Amino acid sequence: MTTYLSLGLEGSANKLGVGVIKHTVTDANAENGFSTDILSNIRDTYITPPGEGFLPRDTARHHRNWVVRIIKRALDEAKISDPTKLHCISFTQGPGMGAPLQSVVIAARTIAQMWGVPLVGVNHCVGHIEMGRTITGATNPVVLYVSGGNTQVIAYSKQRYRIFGETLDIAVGNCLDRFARVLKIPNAPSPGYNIEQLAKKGKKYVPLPYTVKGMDLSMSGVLQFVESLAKRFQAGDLVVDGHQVTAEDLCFSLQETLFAMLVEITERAMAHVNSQQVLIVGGVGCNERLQEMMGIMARDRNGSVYATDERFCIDNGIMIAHAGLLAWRQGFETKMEKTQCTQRFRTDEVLVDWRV
Amino acid sequence: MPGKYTLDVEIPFPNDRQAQIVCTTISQDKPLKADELSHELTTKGSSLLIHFAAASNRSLRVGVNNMMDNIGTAIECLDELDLDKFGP
Repeated sequence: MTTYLSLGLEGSANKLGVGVIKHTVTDANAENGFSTDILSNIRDTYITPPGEGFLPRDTARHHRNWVVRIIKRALDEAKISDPTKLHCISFTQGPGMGAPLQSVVIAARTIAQMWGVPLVGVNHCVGHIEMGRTITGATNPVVLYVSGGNTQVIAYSKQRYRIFGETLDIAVGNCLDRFARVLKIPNAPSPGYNIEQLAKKGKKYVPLPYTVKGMDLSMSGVLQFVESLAKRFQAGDLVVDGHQVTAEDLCFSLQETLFAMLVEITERAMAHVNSQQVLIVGGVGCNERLQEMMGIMARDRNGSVYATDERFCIDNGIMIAHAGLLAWRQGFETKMEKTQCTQRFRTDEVLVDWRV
Repeated sequence: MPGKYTLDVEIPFPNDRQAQIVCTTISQDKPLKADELSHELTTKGSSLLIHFAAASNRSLRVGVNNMMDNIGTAIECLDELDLDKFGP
């Protein structure tokens, strides 16, 4: 039995995460011939006041202020007393916001040199997918990746995660976050979580535009429409079918509309690739209403939904450590002069050579 | 090449190794707007030498501030996470 250790650093948006993972290989010839232990998974989120989004500069400053302390805590919790024993240091190379990504890669390069450990640049989306597969045990699912910056339906084929459908404009999480700003819904722990709680109390469905475009979808128009409704609600003159519409009703209606669109394109991808499994990853993936709606669809197809909780759904360092270690075990390393981060980094650019 | 506004910075470190590590960490990223700002990083013994050249005083200020932030993170890593901080 051989064991491998990886430290992962994530900072592509407003979460700063550091984690240490251990792979214990029992059968080097089998794709799944190893077990995974999470030794630590520390996260610190940059939270802005209600009504405000997080800006790249301020988010980068947050990450710079915390990165060394979070690395220390992750090492302490994992009981790593000698960091030269790590096999690789994995970092998010993209996609994401430029300044926050850059603030974290500076720390990654510095510790890699001090400790004499190789670097592995990780695609953020691939990190989510691999962590989701490992935690849930889904073998070959259609993946719905939904977060503040990304909305993609993905299916695996021939060592690539291929994008089946995606947003044509803004991400679903961005749509929810920006709606939360209009209503001044708090950003702690996350705007999406607070919308979900309000939506549970919503009763009246207010019709919103439904904008699936083939395998893709568009959400900026939905956002604009629901923002105009929110402003009328704030002015106190939003009545639909004789019913005084509440903030809860708007949250409910927005969730139902957006999630129905996601379910539709996911179902179509499942039919295309003949898959019975759907794996939901990304920050919006911990929304229980989305999981429930996806479950109803999957059951109709005799399939099942795989999802994780906030520890693994929401951006974290452990998923970067995990995906980085999978690549490193295949002989992949990111040389120092190739460690520049990139805001655009497509999921299908990565060679997934750890899968058959 | 941008030129008119220049700044030379010399940052001393406790030893050659630390200066070299910071130099390597920082030199990987080129300025985003190559026509407005350029920088060159070298080491001389235990000192990190940086030469900035910019097309305007504004781009010089932004570039220098950004690099100082990055160097700050690298130095904090050296101070808190170097190998002498581990072990029994």
